[in-house]
Amino acid sequence: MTTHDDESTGLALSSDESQLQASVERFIANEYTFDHYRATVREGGFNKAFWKQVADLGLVAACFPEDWEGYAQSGTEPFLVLEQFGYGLVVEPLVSGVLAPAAVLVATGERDRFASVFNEMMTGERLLALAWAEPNRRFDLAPEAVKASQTGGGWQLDGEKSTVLAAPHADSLLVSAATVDGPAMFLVPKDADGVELVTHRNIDGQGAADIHFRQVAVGSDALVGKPGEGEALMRAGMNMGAAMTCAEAVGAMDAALKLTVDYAQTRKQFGQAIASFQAIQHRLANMAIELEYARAMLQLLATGLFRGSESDRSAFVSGIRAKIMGCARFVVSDAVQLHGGIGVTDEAAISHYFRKVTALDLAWGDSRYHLERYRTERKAGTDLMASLY
Amino acid sequence: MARSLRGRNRAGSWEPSEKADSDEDFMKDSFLSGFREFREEIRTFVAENLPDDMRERARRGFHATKEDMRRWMEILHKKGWSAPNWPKEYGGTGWSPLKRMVFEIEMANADAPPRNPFGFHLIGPVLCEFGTEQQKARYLPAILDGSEFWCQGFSEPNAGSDLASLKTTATLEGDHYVVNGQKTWTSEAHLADMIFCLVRTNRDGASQGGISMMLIDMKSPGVTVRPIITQDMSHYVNEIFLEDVKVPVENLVGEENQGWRYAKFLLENERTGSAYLPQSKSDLNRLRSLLAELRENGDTLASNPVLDAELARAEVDMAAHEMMVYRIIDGVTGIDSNAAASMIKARGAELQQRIAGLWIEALGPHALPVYEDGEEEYGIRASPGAMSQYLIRRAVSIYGGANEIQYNIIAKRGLHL
Ligand SMILES: Cc1cc2nc3c(=O)[nH]c(=O)nc-3n(C[C@H](O)[C@H](O)[C@H](O)COP(=O)(O)OP(=O)(O)OC[C@H]3O[C@@H](n4cnc5c(N)ncnc54)[C@H](O)[C@@H]3O)c2cc1C
Repeated sequence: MTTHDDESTGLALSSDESQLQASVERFIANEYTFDHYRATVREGGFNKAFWKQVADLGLVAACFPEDWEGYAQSGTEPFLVLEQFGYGLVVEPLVSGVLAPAAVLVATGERDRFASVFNEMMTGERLLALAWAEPNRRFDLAPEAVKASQTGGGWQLDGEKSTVLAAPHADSLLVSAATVDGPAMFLVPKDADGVELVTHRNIDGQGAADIHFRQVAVGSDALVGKPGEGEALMRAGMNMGAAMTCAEAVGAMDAALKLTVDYAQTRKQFGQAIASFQAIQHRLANMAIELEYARAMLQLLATGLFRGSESDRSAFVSGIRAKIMGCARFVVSDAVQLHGGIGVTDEAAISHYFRKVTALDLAWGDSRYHLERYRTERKAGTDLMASLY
Repeated sequence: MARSLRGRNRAGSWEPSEKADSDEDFMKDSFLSGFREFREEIRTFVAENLPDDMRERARRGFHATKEDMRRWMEILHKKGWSAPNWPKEYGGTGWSPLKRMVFEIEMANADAPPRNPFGFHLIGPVLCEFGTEQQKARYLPAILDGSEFWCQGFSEPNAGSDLASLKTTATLEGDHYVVNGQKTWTSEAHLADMIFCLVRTNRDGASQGGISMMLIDMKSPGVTVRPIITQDMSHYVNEIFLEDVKVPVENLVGEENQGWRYAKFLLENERTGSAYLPQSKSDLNRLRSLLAELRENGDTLASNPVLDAELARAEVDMAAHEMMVYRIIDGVTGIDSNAAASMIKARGAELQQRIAGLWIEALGPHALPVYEDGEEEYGIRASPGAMSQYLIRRAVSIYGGANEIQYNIIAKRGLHL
């Protein structure tokens, strides 16, 4: 009826993006079956052959923006990849072992220095673990428990980090440490003398480790950025991790809703499928709404992700993440509820989505944490949409 | 900016076939940035053409007066903007749905009065699509220039959510129908010149099958309008009694017994429009300035962390709602369009209610007095219409299909349950 005099709006995926989406979807559906996932978790949370496939398909490079030597035009490409990772319960650490630490390196402004690191990451030959969390410090990004002091030829690190994601599979550690000139970041080989890992498995199957640093000696070239910049650099890593895992959460919500709709249509009680009860239908409808709102927010995040300054980005990422993770927790909680008793068992796939979302939420800042960060860091008079206008 | 020109290479991996033009261009554009000049044009237009007294009344938050709605339609009409949603040939703009939304957002932001939606938003598009040439010529121009007001006669005392159970009848007698029955909840009927009604023309068979849509002159003998006073103590809705009302056959919309089809067309427009986005965005701005203005314990309420957290949460939810609306009107979600409209209708209603709830909480006891529109002494600036809005907005999750009905639609059309 109505004829439009405008061009395409750019809200829809481009044909390249659709192709990328379809190919990742196919790849994950074929390779990362529920059995494959369970086997990977049993073996410690990392399958080398799978990771090589991911890299060979160019999926890591698709997540790197062009000025990090990759192909991404916006946040859309990484999100398309990570959404499928969430959908398929992929535990290999694309965010914690690659994208978050890479963001720290990029934030130094010394891109040339790290170009080879980026390349090795994209070819699947290198993982870094971002060692920032410290015992009983929650999301405090200013290091205290690990200290670095200058020695004749370099630096010495002492102290402790906890629950460092990707550490068991990483080649090197990107460690935040307190120096006399303020927080700093250091690139430390995992096999350096005095580095000791106590590895464990997180609830979502990802490998992690508590790390002790005892008189660890590194050269002066281990310093990343300048002393005093460490907290700001970590913030870049935190923002990237917080943003990227939103896409995984959306994928996980999507899968959780589908599983639950299927289950409700097959499970019979009182002589009929439980999906025929209006109380169940309304809960499913609300889950579907929350999923779509999370998707809408993810698109906003994709559009603004690689723009602006890091400080602008903090409030932007936090506000959006607060919403997405709230939606995600809502959806997976109801998903478990609508499964009844089976929903809380290890056997049921749905419990793995519940755990996945819980892990994504706690690792990179839950909804309330990010709402508070948004609240305190947002600029008066601008809103989350401002960057689009 | 060059979009990604990525292609598949021999090895089957992803890589770009060409680099983007330059880093300068990287991510400078968005799907909204193209509207910058357009926004500016709207702002300038409103600043130059909206009379101050009307702006002031709109800011107070009471229902717009008929005269304000009429005048504003007339002003917009001169610019060709009074019914942007209509096809160009009938006096619309031909703008995309996204551009129309941008337009409505700027209008609300500038405190422009709302327009009587029953004409330009609801019946207008139905007439453009299904009306006779004679109906188009008779009714559309008077909607466009604001000279005729419409109301919507769907609901009846015993036909609310179950609209198809409506009982008002129309019986064909020669060159006219004779209509008998009762309509209720009819918004702005006391201001209206015309009403579009759903009536039963056939009592056999399926309830939806025997319904017709017709246009009735409110001045027809046998039409009686009685006010219903809502809890905000204002007169907005009415009940309408129809006793042997003669309606010429040429006032039938489309075909007899096909009214449900036209009603569905209209209701989907209503629900998408009922995402309340433009209004809610300006409401949120108002909440922000209210918190910055009101004081307690020697400081502004903006520094109260609990209220500020509620504001922050509302901002985040508003951004999600805005993106959701854009995605839905642009048709990129992949979900059934009925289910999609229901999603934004339900959440949009809740958001409006939440914001109005925060207004009155911020005002505290100062929100309590019943103010009549037009009173000059308000005690606290920006407060008089707040309670009125809070009270009447309890209805936004009821009218146009209650939220429970929206969930039913999502379950059925979106999830196929
Ligand atoms: C301020 C206002 C303005 C209005 N303006 C107009 C107007 O201009 N024109 C017009 O035609 N109508 C108008 N309406 C009417 C409005 O569309 C109806 O109120 C609405 O459709 C609900 O019908 P009802 O009030 O009869 O409630 P009911 O249908 O009786 O519903 C009562 C409750 O039961 C729930 N319910 C009903 N059916 C189901 C179900 N199947 N499953 C689960 N829950 C259910 C509802 O959600 C609601 O909570 C207006 C209403 C108000 C309040």
